[in-house]
Amino acid sequence: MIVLGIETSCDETAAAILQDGAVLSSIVSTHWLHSKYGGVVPELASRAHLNLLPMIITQALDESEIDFDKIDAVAVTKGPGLIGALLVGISIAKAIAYAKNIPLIGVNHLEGHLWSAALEGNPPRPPFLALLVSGGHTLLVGVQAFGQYELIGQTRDDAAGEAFDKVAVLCGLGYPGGAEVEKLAAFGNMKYHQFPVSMRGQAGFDFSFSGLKTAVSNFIRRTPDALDNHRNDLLVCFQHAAIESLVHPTCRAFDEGDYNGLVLSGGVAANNQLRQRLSGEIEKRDGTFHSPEPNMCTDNATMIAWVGWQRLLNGERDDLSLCGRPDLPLTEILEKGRR
Amino acid sequence: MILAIDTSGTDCGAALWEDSLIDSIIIAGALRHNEVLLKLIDRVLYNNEVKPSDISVVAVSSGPGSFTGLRVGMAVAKGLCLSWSLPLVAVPTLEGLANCVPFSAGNAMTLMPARATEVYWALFHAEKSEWVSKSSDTVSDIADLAKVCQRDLFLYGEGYTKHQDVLDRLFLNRRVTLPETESLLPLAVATAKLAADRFLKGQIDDVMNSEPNYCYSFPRKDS
Amino acid sequence: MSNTIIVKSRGIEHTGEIAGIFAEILKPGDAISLEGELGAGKTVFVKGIVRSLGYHGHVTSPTFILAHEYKTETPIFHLDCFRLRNEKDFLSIGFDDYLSGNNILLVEWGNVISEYFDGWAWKVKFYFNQEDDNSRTIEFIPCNIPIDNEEIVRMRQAMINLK
Repeated sequence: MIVLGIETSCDETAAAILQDGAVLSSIVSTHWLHSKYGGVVPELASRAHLNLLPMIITQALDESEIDFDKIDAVAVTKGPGLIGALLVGISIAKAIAYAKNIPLIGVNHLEGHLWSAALEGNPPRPPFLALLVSGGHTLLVGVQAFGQYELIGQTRDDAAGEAFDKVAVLCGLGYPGGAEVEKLAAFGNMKYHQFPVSMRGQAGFDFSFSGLKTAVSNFIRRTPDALDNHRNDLLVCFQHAAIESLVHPTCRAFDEGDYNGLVLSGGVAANNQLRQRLSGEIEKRDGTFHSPEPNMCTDNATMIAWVGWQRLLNGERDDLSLCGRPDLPLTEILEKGRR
Repeated sequence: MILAIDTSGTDCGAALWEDSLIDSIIIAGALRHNEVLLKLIDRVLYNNEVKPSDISVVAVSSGPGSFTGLRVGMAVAKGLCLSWSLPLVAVPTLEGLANCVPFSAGNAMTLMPARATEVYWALFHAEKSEWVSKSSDTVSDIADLAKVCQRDLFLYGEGYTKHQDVLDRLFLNRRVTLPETESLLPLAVATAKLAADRFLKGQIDDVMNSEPNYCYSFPRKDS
Repeated sequence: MSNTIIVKSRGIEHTGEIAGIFAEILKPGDAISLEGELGAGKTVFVKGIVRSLGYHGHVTSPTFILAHEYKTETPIFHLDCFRLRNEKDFLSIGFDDYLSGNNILLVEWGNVISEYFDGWAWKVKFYFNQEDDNSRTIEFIPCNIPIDNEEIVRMRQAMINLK
């Protein structure tokens, strides 16, 4: 089965073509424009999606060398995300499904991330634990089987990626500067300051990053030379606290459940310190550690096409009234899976 | 044959046109365009035994109007054009509205609702056998329309319906009463008709890069 | 400016209680701009409002997602303009669509879009205090709403009475 996947839930416009789960092409266009502010600025846009998506789909078809008429189904992200952005992808997906008279399937964006390691050479074996960390989400999910998910923990305030990006702003790195934090932190001194690690030693598996962000902000206001003379020190200390804030609840959950391994996905999964720290902890526990290639960690249409393919194989499909759901929860899939 | 769609306002419509109107389906006050539009298209094709291969142009009412509606209409039009390898013709909504009104000598102002007390509007003048545009698409507060009000003016469109009381007062004695409702074309039909003219003149739009005309400038603070 | 209310919060919980009192005077259609530096307490404040209006699910920062909806009696939309930079961005989040209904709109970093939008009912500003890290000064500035002095006096009193 050849599936066209479409993803427009936030900043990326993406299309991918999969044949029986193997990637034939995957195109992602990010609407980040270089700005006069020195950083990159997102042109967040339903209108950008509307302009880009037909081109991206055409490009995905070209690269796959698959004739449009050979596409067997369309999978599209139905949520969560920006409603205007979702609607563009869904409308175009529905028009294609209708025009080509092929099945349509709506996919939960978060479920896509859970399975983003499934296309790797050594895919995770359920039951596994998945930590999804990005600018918009911080979720810990127990994956029993395809379609059977348990939401184990989530952030109580800011997402992990958001904490990185906002601390980057506090340190004058521009927005979004999360990736820059790791680069500069490599030159920092860990002994400079100790920031609080949230949820350490507590029960439960939730995360929290707002307190850490405020602690960094307070520290900068109280320490006049912090930014001028100790920026890299500050960043490495922040990064350490942020990573530990992710590691502790994740390891607790891993210990208390019965999992074969851990999948780390989402934009923050590109952070090597986090990868190393988690893979060490999980391997210590005889689990397998999986983190997909960086281009599969961030938003892409390959994972959407893959999940859509699985659901189509299960006989699921959506009709032409498919709607976008900005706040679509992952737990809804759980209920569906158990039914 | 032209398939025209309109989702610019509260109605959701699809029309088929070849030299003249074949058929149209309009759901008044549909609003949930995203859910309804493709089913509507399917229905109008099915009812008229039209096959996709019979269609040669996809036309869309391109704004100004409801942002969400415009995006859905444009996205569906692009998806169809891409799948069927057809040309796209975008028809400005306010011009489409003018062509809903039967041709007669005089002037028309067409209006779509914008935010709060604002409307998108444009002026048209009847010349020979068509409505000729006399202004660009503009967004204004309805109170400011007094400056542009003229004698013998048709007022038409959802922007008029929404603010009828105020506009009637504003245009007192200058407004020409609208013709009977039955004689007004649905916007999807007027869009199809205009698209046919445009297509014949070779005016087609880029499937990749077209976007709706949002026609919005925001109120500046303390300006 | 005499209608501006200034209160001092001792910390996160106190900010939540102040927000709960503020929530009582909100009406459908109100758009509230929440302004202050990173970590000043804007999301905490939103949490307080949303809780007091009867929503008990998770309230998290919408910075990346740009908008959360909380289904209370009057739907509350929680927006965040931190990432917006220009008029196009402003257009693209469908801000208008959120405004047009009978919703309450809570907008973090509302100051970012004040150039394009001036229909705020209130601006709420958060300031750090020099003397300690937990306390904040919160300023409530009524904007386009008809001022009901009694209501404002009552609110000020209720906030002061919080101990």
